[in-house]
Amino acid sequence: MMEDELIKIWQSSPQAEQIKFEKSRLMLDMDNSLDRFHRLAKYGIIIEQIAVLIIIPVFLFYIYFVPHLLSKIASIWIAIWACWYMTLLRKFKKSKPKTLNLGYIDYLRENRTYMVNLKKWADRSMYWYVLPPMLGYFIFIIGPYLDGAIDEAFFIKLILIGLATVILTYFYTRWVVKTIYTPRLKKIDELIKVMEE
Amino acid sequence: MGKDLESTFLNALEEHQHKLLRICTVYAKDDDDTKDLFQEVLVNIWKSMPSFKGTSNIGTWMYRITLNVCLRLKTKELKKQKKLLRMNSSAINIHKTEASTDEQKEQQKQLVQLRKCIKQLNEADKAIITLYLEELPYKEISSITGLTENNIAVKIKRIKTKLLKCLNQRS
Repeated sequence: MMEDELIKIWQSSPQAEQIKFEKSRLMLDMDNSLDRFHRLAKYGIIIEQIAVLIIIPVFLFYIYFVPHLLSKIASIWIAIWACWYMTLLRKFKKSKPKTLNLGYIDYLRENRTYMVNLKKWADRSMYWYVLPPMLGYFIFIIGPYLDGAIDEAFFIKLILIGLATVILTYFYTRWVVKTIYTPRLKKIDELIKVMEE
Repeated sequence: MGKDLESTFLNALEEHQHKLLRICTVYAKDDDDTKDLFQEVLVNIWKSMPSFKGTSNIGTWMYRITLNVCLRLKTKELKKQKKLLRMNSSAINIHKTEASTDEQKEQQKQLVQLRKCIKQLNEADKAIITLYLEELPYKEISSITGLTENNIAVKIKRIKTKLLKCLNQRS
């Protein structure tokens, strides 16, 4: 087979495949799909933002409402952490590669940078996502326990719930790094390498 | 979005639909996948229309988005997104017409073989060869991929050799 024949074979497909679309219907579908797409693409970040938006006023309220000193300190700590986390979520949202207009290799590089950044944060999530609020949680429950407002059995149950949350979140983030970020980054790196060869 | 944008989109789509579909075929697993990927490409082109400055050829711009979408959406992810993105209508349909003459049958057979061989290539080579087969000048391929024209020329030569070897083995 000759090289020129490749182009001829490749371009013979319109005879075999016909695309038919109804214009008005297509435009309507496009808009509907986009609405759904936009909504769902932001889903993850929105859930976290809503959670943070609930946490902040609740713990600000606790600063005044809860009588135990340690719980007040913990509430301040959690509210500060939640505010910081909110800014971080906004940063994530902004840094997401939006444009598809880039050249292929630039698009790969931009996605790589974004993915490396997310992986870095996920790798260290124990220190910024799990431990700070859990530390706040433990201090928060120590307050009423020391003041005798809750009994030992209930206090231990709360401790166990906290520990279980820490362990589960830790393994979940490990799973995310292993199954989502690492293989994708590997694939992107391979592609960039092939492109630059 | 405005009517002007809509008509620009539809006119460009009329002109380039087959080319975009051909690119989608090598990134998709089967016919259903091709249709879903093609729809996803159209959604993304439509979404990006306001950012089209008109400084480059709209065809080149559409190829760029098509390749980036194909790269982003692997078959597995596409399946996950089907429920979210599927356009529940018959606005887009891809019909396969049966070959009637022996020549057409042979041509379809060769096309199937060629697509199979292209699918075996890595993602980067797939992108370059599909643009080459659409007869885009090296300059445009370079602008779409971000590689230099010399690099493109070397790669195309290498990929063509691979493809011809694959096709000869199959036939």
